[in-house]
Amino acid sequence: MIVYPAIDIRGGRAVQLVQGDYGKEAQFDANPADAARRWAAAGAKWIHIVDLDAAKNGIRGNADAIAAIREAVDLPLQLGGGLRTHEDLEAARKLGIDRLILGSIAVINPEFVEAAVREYGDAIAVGLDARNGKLAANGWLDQSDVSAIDAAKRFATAGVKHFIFTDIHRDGTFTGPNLESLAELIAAVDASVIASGGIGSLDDVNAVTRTGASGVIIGSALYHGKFTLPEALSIASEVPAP
Amino acid sequence: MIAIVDYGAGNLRSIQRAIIHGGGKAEITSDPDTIRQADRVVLPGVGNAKAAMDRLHREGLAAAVTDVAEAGKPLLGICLGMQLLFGPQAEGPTTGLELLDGEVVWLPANHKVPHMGWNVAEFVPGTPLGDFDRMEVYFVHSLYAIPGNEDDVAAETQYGLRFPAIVIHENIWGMQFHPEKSGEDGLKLVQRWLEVPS
Repeated sequence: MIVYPAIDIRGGRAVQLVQGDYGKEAQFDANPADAARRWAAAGAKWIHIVDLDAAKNGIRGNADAIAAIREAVDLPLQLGGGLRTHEDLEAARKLGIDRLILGSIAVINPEFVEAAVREYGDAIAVGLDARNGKLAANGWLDQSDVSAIDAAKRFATAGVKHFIFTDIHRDGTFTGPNLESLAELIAAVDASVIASGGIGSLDDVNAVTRTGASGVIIGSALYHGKFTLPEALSIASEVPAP
Repeated sequence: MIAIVDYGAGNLRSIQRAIIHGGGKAEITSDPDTIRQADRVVLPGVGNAKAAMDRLHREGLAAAVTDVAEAGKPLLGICLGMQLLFGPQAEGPTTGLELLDGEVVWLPANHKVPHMGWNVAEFVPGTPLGDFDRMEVYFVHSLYAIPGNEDDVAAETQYGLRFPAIVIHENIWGMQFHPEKSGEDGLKLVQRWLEVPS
């Protein structure tokens, strides 16, 4: 299983949000490129980047910070946050992003996901940010009526090969991931599912590994020193990467 | 000077930076004369083999890369750039640069294609990279090469079947994976290619 250390960028700086609340922000490595170098040196195989400004306002002001991460590490990168138009996707590809995560737009405009898959194939991932089984959109501030599982099935049929599943109540709270929902999603779709949110301990990493998830995104727990990246990598390597 | 051949095939900055990291001076260029004058050349590539070959011929780049290879200068093909070193290409179909003996065919459909992600490259003893044992490297590809000369295989990877991860034939090297996205180990491999005498 792949461990994706997360770098959340806001205003050009790396930050960490607690439970997706824009009011609760903790700052660690201010420089996103430094954070990326740190994770690469610790053995990361992928890096997960979130452009928080784009998620909330749809403004792409963090291109320089993302370019600096691309310059800093020789690893594949995935990016989420505010990718809503073909121009956004093209801009992200030009920045050297390997996997593009569609979030809110997938809820608002599923046809866009289908068009994106036709153009970018396996480089497209869909982020399923759920709250009580229903998808949330627009930077977690709005709630939809779409069931996460139904949406995932539809996107998988359209050719989406990667899903990133986040249980919002658990993001940045160290209370453990929602394993039941995660397992349900993994069983429902013929695609790789990456778990995100709520990882607080190595036991959580171990539990996610056993669900058959293809990866796990870890942010806060690493920044708060709950455990180290090499420790998480060691547990994740017990199950081979897809 | 090291020329990175620009034929509209993907982001080349990562490759350029990997070479600079290895102590080389790299220029991204689509000028055939600059390529001919280079000490060594990288042929990168992402995308469709036929479209790539059409463009390489149209812009005079195919001839320039061939001249470089025939002059005995180090040439490194990466991903699609490695596949184009061979002759017959199933994608198109079309014909590659024919600098190496062999053909390029589709990965079997019984595995998820493209093969995308980290996988293990196992090195073959007795090649210029035979001192390495195994490395995890990052792949994105749907086709693989079948070299006509088995001795050209310097590393192999298992994905449904065994295919060459690295080929080396004298001054011509090819890497099926992306060394510029394979962390420290990827940089080590680029470094070794930079040490091949030009």
